[in-house]
Amino acid sequence: VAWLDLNVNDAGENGHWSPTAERVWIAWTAIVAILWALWYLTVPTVQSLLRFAEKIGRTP
Amino acid sequence: VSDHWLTGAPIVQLLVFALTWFVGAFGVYGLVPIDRRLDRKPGALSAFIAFGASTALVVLATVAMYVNWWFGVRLAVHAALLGIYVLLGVHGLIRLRANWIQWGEVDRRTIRRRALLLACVLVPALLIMAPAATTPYIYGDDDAYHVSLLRYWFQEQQLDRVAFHSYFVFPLLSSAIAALFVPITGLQSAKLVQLAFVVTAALGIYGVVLLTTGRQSLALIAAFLYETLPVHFMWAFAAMADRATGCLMTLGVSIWLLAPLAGATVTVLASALLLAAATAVKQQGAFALVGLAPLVWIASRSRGHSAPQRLALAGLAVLVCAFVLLPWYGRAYWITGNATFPMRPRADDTLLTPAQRQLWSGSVLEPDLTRVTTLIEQLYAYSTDRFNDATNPALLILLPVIIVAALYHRDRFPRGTRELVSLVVLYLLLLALMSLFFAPGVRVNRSTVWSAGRYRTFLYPAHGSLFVFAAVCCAAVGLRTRGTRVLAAATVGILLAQTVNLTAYLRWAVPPFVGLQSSEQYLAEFHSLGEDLVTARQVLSDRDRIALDRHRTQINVPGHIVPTTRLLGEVYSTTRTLAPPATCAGPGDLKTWLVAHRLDAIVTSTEPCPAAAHWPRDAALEVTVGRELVIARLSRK
Repeated sequence: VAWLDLNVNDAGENGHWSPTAERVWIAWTAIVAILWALWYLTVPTVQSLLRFAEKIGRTP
Repeated sequence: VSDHWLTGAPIVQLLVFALTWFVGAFGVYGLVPIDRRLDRKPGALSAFIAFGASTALVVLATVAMYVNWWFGVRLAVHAALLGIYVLLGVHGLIRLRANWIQWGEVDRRTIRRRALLLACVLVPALLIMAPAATTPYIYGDDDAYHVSLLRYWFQEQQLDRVAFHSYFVFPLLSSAIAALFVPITGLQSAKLVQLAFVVTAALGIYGVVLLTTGRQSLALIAAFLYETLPVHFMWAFAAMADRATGCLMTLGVSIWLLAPLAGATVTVLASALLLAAATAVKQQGAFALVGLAPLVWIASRSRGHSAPQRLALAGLAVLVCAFVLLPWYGRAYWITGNATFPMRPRADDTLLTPAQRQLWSGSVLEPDLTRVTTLIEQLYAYSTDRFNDATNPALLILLPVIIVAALYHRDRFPRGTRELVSLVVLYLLLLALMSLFFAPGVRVNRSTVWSAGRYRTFLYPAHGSLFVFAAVCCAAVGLRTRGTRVLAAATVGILLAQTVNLTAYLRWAVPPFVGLQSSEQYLAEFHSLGEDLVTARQVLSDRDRIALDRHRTQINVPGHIVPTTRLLGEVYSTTRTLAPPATCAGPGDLKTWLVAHRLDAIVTSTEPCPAAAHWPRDAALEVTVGRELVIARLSRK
């Protein structure tokens, strides 16, 4: 999606935060997103599925 | 009318509603002078659609409320106002077409591509949420007041005759906006309006970010993040008004970023209108509205207005707020002597019983400092006992960028950012302060208060403005191509994870218009009284005057409905609510009671009438006993 930007220019680095800061932030983003997705897909989703299975089991 | 409310093909309702909302959204565009339309600025059209739809609907719904208040509630008035909305929209579209023809092919192709891309980003989540918005009502709060009061307004044809319901003067602007659409989509409009507000806010976020930063990728990501908040998925099947508050707050706060383009006067007045509207939907909107007062003064001073001009602008802003708030808080004060009735009622209040006055009076607790952490916990908590509407980690991901931008790149913030931040910060501060008092637990008078999930309901409306600010921060730090790609990937990953979970939750089931499940099958499966309600819809008709004596029956039962104190309970009843039959030992009890109150039928339950299934057949009273409901109707013969 980055190529969609109308007025961003990677060649001109003036005013950008440092590449190191951006790399650290990218790592933070990846860690938070992956950990959250793993947690979300395990704990709440499994709970939801168990509740659903229980509901199906109760249905005559 | 009510027959129309309860039936109708859902897909037709959805398409008609979407078309009407979208066409009318161009109304403001057509009214703006040609040199102020910013046609060639990327994002301008999206911003016009979002701000156009919300401001026009707020104004028209408020006008409708004044008419309802003084002359009674008439379907024709709402149809006429909706007609004005559509006509203005058609006028705007004609103006847009005229401009479109004048633009060069390159400009037109660029706009078409941007629109197509935006649609590709927003439509997938919409395809999951829209079917849920076409399902019958099953949610408790919709039945308790969001939709039932809307039904009572039209049924009684007078707002204040609904005083048998304690929320009869409660701020319900989003229900009033839904009322504009009742002539075409019936009561279903209350759900569809909330869905439309989600899309409108997403469009507004896209337009504001693109206009302000010129970065389409950030605009798309911010709009996508807002649209795919778990709250929107989880509430897609309900008419809960928080999404309207969220949209109005997002637009009312974000418009400050457009001040350099729109001018101080337009910005102040539009912000006042939208934030007052948020306050007229839910009281917490006032947390942001109070922040507007200093901004009006500062904005007009910084733009070199003279003292009389500044006073005039402040006066206009006050007038705009009064115009929007009067039909709610003003009417409440006029009728009950309490602007926030039934909260904290007066000692001499006659609409509430002494027990109800006591119930509502203890709404203030001593601050509980041990609850401070709850605010943070609630942001990311998962609750098994109610909506799984925990927010996703989008704000957590963006937090480092916000901190870096605020510390080192403030000079790259666009004008208006300071105002946006001050409004959001004030909202959050007041929210945190109030939350100390509204801690989950028990009030001083021993009635239960806000559930733990209430914090999230309060925090949710700030998300839209925070996403806009985060996008501005990403632009300020100069997020590079790689960083933008990672952000987009994380956004999609978050959505995929939560979609799997939310789909597993299965609240919305199979869309009825796919043809695999009818509306009645959905109702039977997901409503706690499902099969009994389906039976009630078969046994009773729109011509019947029906007493409702069991809670959660106010939307799905046809006819002219009259609630009893047993249905409304202590919270929603008043001294004007009908008392239920004193006894229900046999058909004679119900027959006598129905005749005495000039009613045709009663929908009660097996709890007060435990032996109803074994009653002898009575020629004068047709009794149908379901799993929980007892439907007794005086014989038509």
